Amino acid sequence: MAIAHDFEYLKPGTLREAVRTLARYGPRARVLAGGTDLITLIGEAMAAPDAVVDIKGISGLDRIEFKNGALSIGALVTFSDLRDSPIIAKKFPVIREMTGWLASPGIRNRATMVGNLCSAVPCCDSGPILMVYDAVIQVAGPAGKRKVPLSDWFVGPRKTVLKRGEVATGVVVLLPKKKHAACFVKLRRYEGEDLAQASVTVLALAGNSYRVSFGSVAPWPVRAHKIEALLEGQQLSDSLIRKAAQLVPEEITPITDIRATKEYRMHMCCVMLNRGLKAATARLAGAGPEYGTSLI
Amino acid sequence: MGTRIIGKRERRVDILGKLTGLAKFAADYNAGHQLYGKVLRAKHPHARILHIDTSKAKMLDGVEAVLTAQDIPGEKVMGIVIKNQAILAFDKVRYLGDGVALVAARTKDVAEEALSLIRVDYEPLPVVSDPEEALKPDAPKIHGNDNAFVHHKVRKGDMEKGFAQADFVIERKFRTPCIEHSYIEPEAVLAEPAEHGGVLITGSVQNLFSSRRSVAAALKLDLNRVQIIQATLGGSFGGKDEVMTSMCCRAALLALATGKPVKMVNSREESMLESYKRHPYVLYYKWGAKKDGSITAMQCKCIADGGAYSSMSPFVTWRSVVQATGPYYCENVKTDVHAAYTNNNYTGAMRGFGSPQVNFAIESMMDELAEKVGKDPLQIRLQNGFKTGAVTATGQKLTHNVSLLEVLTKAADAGDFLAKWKKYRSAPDAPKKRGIGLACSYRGVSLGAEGVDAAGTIVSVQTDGSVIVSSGITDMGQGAQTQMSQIAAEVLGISMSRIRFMNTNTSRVPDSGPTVASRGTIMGGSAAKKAAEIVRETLLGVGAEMGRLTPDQCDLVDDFLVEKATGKRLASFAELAAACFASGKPMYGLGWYKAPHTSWHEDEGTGDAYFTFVYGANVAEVEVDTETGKVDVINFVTCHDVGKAINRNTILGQFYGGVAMGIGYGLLEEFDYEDSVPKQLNFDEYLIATSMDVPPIKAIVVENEDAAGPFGAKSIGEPTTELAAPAIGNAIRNAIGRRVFEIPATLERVLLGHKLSRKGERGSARKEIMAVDSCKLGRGAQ
Repeated sequence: MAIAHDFEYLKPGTLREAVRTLARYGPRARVLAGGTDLITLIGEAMAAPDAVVDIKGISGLDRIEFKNGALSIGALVTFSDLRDSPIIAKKFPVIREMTGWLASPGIRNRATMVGNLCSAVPCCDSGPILMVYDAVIQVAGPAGKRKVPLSDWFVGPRKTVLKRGEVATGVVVLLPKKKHAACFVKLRRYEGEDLAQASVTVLALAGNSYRVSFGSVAPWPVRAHKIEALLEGQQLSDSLIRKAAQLVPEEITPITDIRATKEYRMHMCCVMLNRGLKAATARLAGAGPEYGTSLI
Repeated sequence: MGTRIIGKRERRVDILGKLTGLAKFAADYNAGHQLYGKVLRAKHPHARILHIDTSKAKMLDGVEAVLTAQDIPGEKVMGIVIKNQAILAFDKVRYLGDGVALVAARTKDVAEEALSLIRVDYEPLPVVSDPEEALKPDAPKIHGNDNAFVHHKVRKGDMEKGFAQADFVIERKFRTPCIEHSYIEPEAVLAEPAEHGGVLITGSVQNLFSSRRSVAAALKLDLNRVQIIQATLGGSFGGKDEVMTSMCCRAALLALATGKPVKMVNSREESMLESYKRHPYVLYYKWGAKKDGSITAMQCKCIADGGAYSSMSPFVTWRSVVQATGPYYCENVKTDVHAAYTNNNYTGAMRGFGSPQVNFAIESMMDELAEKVGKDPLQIRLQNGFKTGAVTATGQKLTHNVSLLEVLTKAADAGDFLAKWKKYRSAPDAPKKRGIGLACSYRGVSLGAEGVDAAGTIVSVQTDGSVIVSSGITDMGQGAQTQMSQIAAEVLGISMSRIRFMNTNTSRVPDSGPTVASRGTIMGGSAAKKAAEIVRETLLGVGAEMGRLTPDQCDLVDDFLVEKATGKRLASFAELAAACFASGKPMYGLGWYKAPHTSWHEDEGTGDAYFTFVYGANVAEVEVDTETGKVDVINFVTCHDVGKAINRNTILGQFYGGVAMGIGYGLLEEFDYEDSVPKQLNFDEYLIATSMDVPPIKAIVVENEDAAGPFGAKSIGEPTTELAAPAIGNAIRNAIGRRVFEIPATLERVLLGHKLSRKGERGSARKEIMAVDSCKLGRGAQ
């Protein structure tokens, strides 16, 4: 793909320089990390920035670190990095589970998780996964550093709370203190590379506590607080799951688009919730399907 | 007959070039001072062109030509059967892929910019997107005053009597989708003004001779002034015919207008927008049958969406009408196949050519019949299926070895069909249910009574004993070059490494018709055999003199001239070639093969449609998720009578590839429109089966040699892809007790029994940023 649009290509060596550059250009600048979204947008004339600020020259953003129960994923960490990381496999196997159905190996080698959050498309797979962990995004900007809870991050399709001059430098995920297990269920139309038509993430914590999120069925990924409240402290059963499924229409607002209809997405969220809850619970008990097994 | 090379797993003659990157595809060709050609395409699916203003585009620096239909010196329209496809639209645009103007410029960017400076005033006309709507009297007309442009029929027996004899009637309606060929290489050409007048075109062209005819007519040139060389093709599946003819005409017009080479390459989006597709069909089937399962009457009516132009519709629908009732005995048949113009992409040749549509209906009906009379799917087919000597719906007596029951039985056995079918049928309800389905078909070989059916192949031995083979039959990845090389090598008693196969060049090989209808091996191969035999006779004559023997005492074996009786080596093949040259004898042979007689009576709807037929059967095993509608194909058996496997690897490649394509047709593929605006222009939304979607395939090659083909070989390219969809449909029925009457059997269709309406946009994309001007779609293709 050739890029027909001309822009300044800037590659700052430090975060401070990046912030200064971004502040100077404002909305006319776009941040480049993996580029799998940005370059496509420019190629299809859906984005026309005057400046592309490549952050790959900034050191320290490519690390995955796990310290004191907190996982830090730098802005340059790719999905392949996550997939290959022993600490992810051990402590956050559901993140690895998600990466298996994300695009294709070629894309995963370039695309970053933080970039996925910054693109903020409704079907981003990182959002719903990180939401159940109450992840926090680290932001650097002209006014210094700040932390944004993922629940406050999205403000619309392709829109985040990032302000002029700001750049996301990483995301921090806390390992739940309680014993836990999780499950990511993604609706795809076939075994090839496909965007989520809908997705459900379930985090099951010891003591019958659940965190649930949905992807691709609202303007941005959403936590299902009503369903979580219903499930809290209850022993999982078919009748409880049925009750939870009845709350699905209150949690999500799917639309009909070229990939799937509203009605089908709604139906599938109930099916995926059912299977996700059961699988996460089974995994918590040391059983259940291996991580990476598609439930649908 | 013992063979040395026929039937072996010889390496493909084109494989090393393709693996190492030495193979040159059309877009790899460049010439000094070349210009880049671009097409301005229609803004509306149906509109009258009021005015085209190219003045601003012409003034842009770097632009060397801006052409419209007015600048075409010769015929402005093309078409193999009905000439009504404009090379550049002049009165109306009839679908979004229509070209309105051409630009040649020094760079691609300038060409793009020039397109945006061309102003076209349109008067939008009402759009018709549905072929059944198009056939209504008050429908908007696409060409002339009738959208109906094809009606083929088959008539046999007495329908009234047939239905009167029936104990019951089964009546069903089916729908099959419009699909894209999905060749990996989008269309490309390089057109150069030729040294002594005329034009030289190198391109990704499937049917060089028909493309050449249109270029010559458009440019008012004699055929000998238009030379088309086939670049190595990155797939075609029937798809690089008219769309390439049109591209050749356009590039040649620009080349002659500027006096410079012009390169044109479509982006994937341009390719999907412009190229023709497989016909979607609506099929109404009504069968009368007896309680014992015998069929007393078969009535079929099919309506094909022909899209904006006639293209191959008359031929595609003719194959449908001949094969619409399948390989089953029935005394009373009435079949009508209609094609209608719409403002959708025109539809034409695609691997299968009118059979995948009717096979989906026939084989679904067969299972419905079995269900009704309480028989199993194998039993009902064995009961009704053709045996040698059967008379088809068109009144043709099948005198070759009709191996339908053989392929059916072998496929069923290999898939453990009956045991599984019974087990799955009575399985208790569960979220995931398995099912198994059977389908079979017969298929007429080559063109049949569609038209003249003859082909030529040239074998030329060089003085060092190497051999050049070339043919009017082209290779597009299916392996025609390898098959023909093997045949030549077999006849000449030489190893494959001696042979170099040249890509087809219209000025150096005789017009052999199109490479379609699975006729490559049977036609090109038969011609190769004849050509090699001519050369062999000469060589043996010279060899006999060398050994003081008679020619029939000599043989060519393992690259040597040998004495037949003793096997004694008299000379190497190279020595023999040198001696032949020295004796002044020709070492060049043109083999010409004309197909056996066929006939067709359009008014009566009868005839000996094809000179021979092939038979195949598929078994699909699926797992259906009853809560989500997802269908996983978990096992597959494909069994075909190929006559004789010239190259087992190539045959298996066809088997596997055909099944993969058929799975896409059954489960995934649909080129969908909203008011004739395509909803998908790339593989992000147009889904084809990936390697991950294709299950393990058990391939069974049945060989009943046929006198009509070289070494007994028949056809295999298309039969392999025409059966997977109905086999999957029948498997879904076996699994969940419900039939899918419309393919592809997508998640929603399987779950809900119907498809919900969709909009042609991505949910994440805002309208304003998605509104990409169609002329910008080609950006960056070259």
